[in-house]
Amino acid sequence: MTPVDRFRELAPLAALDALDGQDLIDFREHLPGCSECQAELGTFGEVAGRLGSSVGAVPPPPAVRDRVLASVGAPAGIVRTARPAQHWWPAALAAAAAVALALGLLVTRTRLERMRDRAEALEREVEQAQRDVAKLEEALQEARAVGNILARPESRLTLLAGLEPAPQARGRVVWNAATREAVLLASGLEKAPAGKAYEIWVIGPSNQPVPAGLFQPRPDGSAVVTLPQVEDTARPRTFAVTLEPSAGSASPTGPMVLAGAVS
Amino acid sequence: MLHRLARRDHAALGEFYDLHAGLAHGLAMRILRDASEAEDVVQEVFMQVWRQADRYDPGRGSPAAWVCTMARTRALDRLRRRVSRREEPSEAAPPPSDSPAPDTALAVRAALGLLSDEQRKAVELAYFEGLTQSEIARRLGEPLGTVKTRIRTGMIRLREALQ
Repeated sequence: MTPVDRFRELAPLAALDALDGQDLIDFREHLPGCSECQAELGTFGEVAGRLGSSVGAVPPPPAVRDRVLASVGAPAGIVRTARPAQHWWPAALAAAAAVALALGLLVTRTRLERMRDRAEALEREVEQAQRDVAKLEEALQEARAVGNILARPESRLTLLAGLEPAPQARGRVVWNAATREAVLLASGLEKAPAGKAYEIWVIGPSNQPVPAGLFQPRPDGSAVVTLPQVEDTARPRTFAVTLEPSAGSASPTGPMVLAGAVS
Repeated sequence: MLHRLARRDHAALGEFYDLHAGLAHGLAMRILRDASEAEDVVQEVFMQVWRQADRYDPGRGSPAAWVCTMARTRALDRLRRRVSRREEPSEAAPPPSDSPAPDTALAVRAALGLLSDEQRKAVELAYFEGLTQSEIARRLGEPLGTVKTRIRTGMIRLREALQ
């Protein structure tokens, strides 16, 4: 064992003031010149200091507090106030504050949840309103197109009759040869089967049907469809509607539902 | 609070007393096992606090540790005087603490629980009864080297547990 090791082993005993005899004399002599032993004594001193608190607090009688404060010449007001026995209230206040805080958080959370539900409901209402506006705009555009074409004095009307698959169906096409504009107004149409759509045809001087738009009737069986401006509308001979695959066809493949010859 | 104490603020002494008097009293009761003497120690400790607050160095430990050191030193002084008058310490157990021990007390108790009975006994004789290594060896009827080893290994184990 080197001398330094011996002194390091004495440090924990020195921290408890337990050294005596030659050990105490040697350690006292060695300590001032050895930073390592000073550090050891410091950390063991902390451990020893904490041993005292292992006992736990035992409040002395209130009279001891009065004696201490009186002996240093404290004014009577301080001597009398704030005895440990009166110190129940900080804990009570803290407990009350904790309860109040917890209640406050609960109320705040409930309120936030209500506000979030309300915000979500408002968001849904706004979305619905936007969809309604889009539908109305569409309907207005349709009505304007129909109104425009009906208002022109040179516009003409062709009636379409329901054929065998849909004898109750009726249609009218209002068309303008100069502008190639045309509008189909139909009623009494069945809902198209799945994967199918109604397709409009314009048949001109060439006798070749030209596709002029796909549509689905409204739930009440009616439809108002603005036709694209096709060349054959300049000199149409027949307007017709067939049932086609929903992507549309280049020439009619399905049963003819409505047809009308231009007189 | 210690700054106010150093400026001789009476109210600060009252607050400091309310925080630490239980600790000083508990320790003095454990060492002296005598209510009247323990109260005298408490009074002496806080009068010393009043006189020396301007010399307190936070770098050398917490205020609680400072109070502990003063209470232990004064209580052990009284114990030695009593022994020199050949009075036997009362065998009555110290009164149980009527306030819950703070977390630090629980931590130190838990650390003490990690020691062997022999190690704990030796450390407690040194700390609470102020006995030196030779006195402990005589009290226990054990060789001095054995006692020194027990105290050293006990303190090392405590240091590990409390770090």
